Amino acid sequence: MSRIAHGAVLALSALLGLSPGGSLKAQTARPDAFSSLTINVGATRFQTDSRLSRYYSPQTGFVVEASTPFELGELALTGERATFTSVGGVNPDFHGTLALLAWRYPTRLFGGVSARLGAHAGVMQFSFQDTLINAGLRKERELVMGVSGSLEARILSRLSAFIMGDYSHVWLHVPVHLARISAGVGYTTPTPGWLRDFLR
Amino acid sequence: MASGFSQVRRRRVALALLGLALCAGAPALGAQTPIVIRRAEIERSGWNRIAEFLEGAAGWAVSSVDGATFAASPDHLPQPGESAAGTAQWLVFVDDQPVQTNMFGLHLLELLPVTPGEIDSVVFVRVPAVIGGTPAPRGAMRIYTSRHANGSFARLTYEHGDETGDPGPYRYTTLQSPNLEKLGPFAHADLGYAAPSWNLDLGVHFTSLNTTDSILQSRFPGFSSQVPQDVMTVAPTLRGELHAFGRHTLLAGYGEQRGLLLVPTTTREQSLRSQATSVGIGGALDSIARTVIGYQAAVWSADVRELDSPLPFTIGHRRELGLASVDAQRAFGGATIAAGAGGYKWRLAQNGGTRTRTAAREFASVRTGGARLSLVATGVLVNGSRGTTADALGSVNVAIDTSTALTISAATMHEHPDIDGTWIDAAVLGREAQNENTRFSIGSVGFTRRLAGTLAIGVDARAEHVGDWRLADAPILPVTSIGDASPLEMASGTFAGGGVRLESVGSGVWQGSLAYDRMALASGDSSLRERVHSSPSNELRGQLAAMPVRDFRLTATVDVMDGTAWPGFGSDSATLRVPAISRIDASAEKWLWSRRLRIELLFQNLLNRPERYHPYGAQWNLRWHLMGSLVLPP
Repeated sequence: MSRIAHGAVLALSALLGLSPGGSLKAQTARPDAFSSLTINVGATRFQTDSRLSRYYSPQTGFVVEASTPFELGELALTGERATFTSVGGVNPDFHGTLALLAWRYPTRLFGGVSARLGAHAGVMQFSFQDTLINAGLRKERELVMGVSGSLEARILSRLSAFIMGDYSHVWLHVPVHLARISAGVGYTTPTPGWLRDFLR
Repeated sequence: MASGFSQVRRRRVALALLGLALCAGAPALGAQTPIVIRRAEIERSGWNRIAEFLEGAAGWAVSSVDGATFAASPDHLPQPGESAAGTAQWLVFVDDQPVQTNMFGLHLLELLPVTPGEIDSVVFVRVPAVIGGTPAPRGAMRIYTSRHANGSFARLTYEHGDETGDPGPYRYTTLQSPNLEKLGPFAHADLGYAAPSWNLDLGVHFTSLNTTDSILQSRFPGFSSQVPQDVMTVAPTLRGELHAFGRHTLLAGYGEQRGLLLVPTTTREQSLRSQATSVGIGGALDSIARTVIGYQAAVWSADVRELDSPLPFTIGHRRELGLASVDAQRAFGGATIAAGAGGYKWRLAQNGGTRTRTAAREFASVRTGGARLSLVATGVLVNGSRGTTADALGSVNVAIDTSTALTISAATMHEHPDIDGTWIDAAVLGREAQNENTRFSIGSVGFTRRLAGTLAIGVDARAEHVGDWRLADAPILPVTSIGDASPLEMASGTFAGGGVRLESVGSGVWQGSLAYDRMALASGDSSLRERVHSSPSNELRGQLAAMPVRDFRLTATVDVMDGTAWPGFGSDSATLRVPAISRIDASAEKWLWSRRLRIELLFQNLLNRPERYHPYGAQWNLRWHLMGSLVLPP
């Protein structure tokens, strides 16, 4: 059993580019976990599946994200919001707000350009602009899971630009599929000591 | 290190398991593959309600209507509602003190005088046993609490979840569907102080679960909005331990549960408030002249009252228990002899009248042999309202080598309604048995082996004959408390089955367990054969956890069990079927702030397959839970 477990650890380590061992410490080329904090802001554009698009049309929204290196890849907290307007004004509009926890694996491509692939999970809140229904029913949250990919280019030492594409499944009774493309700028700073201590 | 499993906790689990095997307070456990749920599994499974621990008991045949109140059938006898009210139940112990949870075959586990955060480990005993002198013919759930390191401490856990399947923007379209509500919050907190010779822990436990599932609500056509929309429990607790002239433990609690409760044998819900109050002390005195004296005393009461709703309320009552027991253990040469006695007094108050039943029990046990071969024999006499019954258990343990053991055991035990208080369930419903003489006779063989210090394997085989088990009537509607003189239908049968369990040992990167259990009726009366499928025959549960990096853990869990069939639960006494369950859960945990804070994201039923545990029960979709757990100091 121990040989099998050790082999599995070695295989996982090799796959992820980590050094084997109890703590699986990252190689020196990889930034230390939680060593820096990157804040991304930008615009986002949703594309809904054909079923939802018969009823709603999304407007351009915005995205705010904070990401930090993890022992393995990087972690990000993402918030996105856009207004979905009713096609033909038949139904109440709603604000769609996504709060996501994402994990991504970065790869340096060339120069200051890097790519990231990952997955995310979180919730999408539907805030219905409906004053006729009970106030408690005007907001509804549902589970979201999906995958994402992005390209990031370093502009200055701490400033970067990014373009990101996401695909999400919203686990409603009638599932909703959302594709999003976002673009914006990012600012990277060393993680404040108190926050770094907390995350560890 | 790997699992937030402190040395103190590890030592306590080791002591508990050692106690299971050796102590005179638990002199008789049959051969079985032990199911031990440790703190690490509790955390990675995301269990913040005590009832959820039953998920880890593979083969216990758990059923639940609302996800808040559970029943279980460790020996695979028909579930409450298929079995009559007042039939024997499995017991619950906290730190070896008996505690009361049964209400009509359902177990109100959230009202226990202990919070989930205090629990270090749970051992599920699924065969007839005598625990601390108390006969447990249908097994027991044994809960062990943890002791914090010296100094003041605080623990706080909060969990919130949601079930998928809401209508979302389609609520305004022809694709609309019912709204599904949140899960939780489930929260518990402890505050305490530990000194070398004493510790005190003050806690509170809160749960809330919506009962707005469309299957539940469809049972109240036209007035669903007037029945309670959730099941809520709140339970303040107090636990103390003193080490002076021995070890002494105090458990006290007040618990309240409000909401709907399906009364199984009536197949109807009641809107009620149950209030349970308990105070119990127990312990063992220092050895005097090579003799160890143990003692227990407890008072417990439950008050069941109506919550306003259109449902006709018929089960209002108050039940009370007072118990006291004492036992002694002494070594004589190569043998250890234990003996003790206890008394129970149950009181039922209903509709202005009261009834009392008392019982006394005496036990004696002898353990002899050496490290290679040991023999344990136990006898129990119970003197209750229906006369005197005798129970006997015996087991032989053979240590084949230092890592391999074989246990062969046999037991014959009776139900004891005057000890577990189940007679009250039948009395409240006006359907008392004329004979209470169900008898359980079991033979079992168990084999355990530890492999290479990293894996433990256990295999067992069991055959159990149950005689004169009482089956439920057709529901009396509306529910009345009018006594019915006609006898209940009784049935007998022989069950056969076994289980295998593999479990990782130690604190490596990979942790996990795999358990399979099968128990089926081999022969028996047709009425029992018809109803026994309300308990699934096969269950497989596996869990694999890994800590790929420091302070971060990923866990995947799979649970597969048979579908069930419930005769009489459909209209015109038809059989209702519940589909088989194939469930996969996954969780990710991250420790923060130098392991003071643990954040967990848990997904349950990732396959989004049908998941129901009762024919009237809610259908559980894919759901997620987010929880945070703070421990100070870490």
